[in-house]
Amino acid sequence: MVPDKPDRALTSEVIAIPTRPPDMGSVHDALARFWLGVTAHHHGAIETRWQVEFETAVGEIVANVVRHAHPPDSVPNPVRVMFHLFEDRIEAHLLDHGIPFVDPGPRAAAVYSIDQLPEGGWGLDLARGLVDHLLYERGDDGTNAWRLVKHFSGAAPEDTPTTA
Amino acid sequence: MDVTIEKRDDETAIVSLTGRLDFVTAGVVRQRIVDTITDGHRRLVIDLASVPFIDSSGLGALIGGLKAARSAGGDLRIARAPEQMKVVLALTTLDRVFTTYPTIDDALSEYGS
Repeated sequence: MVPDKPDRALTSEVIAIPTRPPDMGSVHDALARFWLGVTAHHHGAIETRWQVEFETAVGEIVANVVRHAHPPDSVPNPVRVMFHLFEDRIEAHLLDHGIPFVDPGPRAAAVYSIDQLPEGGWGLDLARGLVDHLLYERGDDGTNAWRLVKHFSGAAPEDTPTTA
Repeated sequence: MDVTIEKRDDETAIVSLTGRLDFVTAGVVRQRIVDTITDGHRRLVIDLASVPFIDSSGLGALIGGLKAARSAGGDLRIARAPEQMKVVLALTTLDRVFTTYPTIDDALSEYGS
């Protein structure tokens, strides 16, 4: 089940990053600060791989937003990135005012012929596989809102992942 | 992203990357790898020990390098992949495509160097 809209987070990290040039360093720095907050507030061990999965999913969605919602000929517009800790999960929220996201659908079955192996298009499927929920909404005011949800071990959702 | 290329012989080179291999840096890395292959070094070892993060675009750069190397009759092998890279390879099932090695020497020995 997708958690209700977040109420009060135990700790949060909020940044705004430029899209040209994209400042991925700030995203990773913010994540590092967020993990310190998570460690301080969350009671229980957090596996490195679990963290890596969340960071990788965040990186893919930030890349998707910067590359596709803010092409080079668009008006420069920062992307707001937020990380939140709740009792049973962590979430990342991305807000921007770029071009609406159009879901290309799942990638076709894996192709193992080297000649036919695509060099791009892996990102969304990768992100979907690394978090419990990947949600996207286009607001009436032209806001793109992404929400990534990952539950702590033992607090996994009961249904299949809901994806953008 | 720093890219260091060490040529071991006429056909073999070690490409050492330092920094994040993501959509910002993938284009440069792909071009350096392809240039190295075009230069005759078709047997490559990519050292990822100092790459703390790779995204799907970075993976795409390595796929491009692998295709170029195989097309030239060589190969591209990954050495010292960090945990995050292994997660990405496994989830995309590309761990069936890329051969990874725990050390550079292990990767080189497979080339008979």
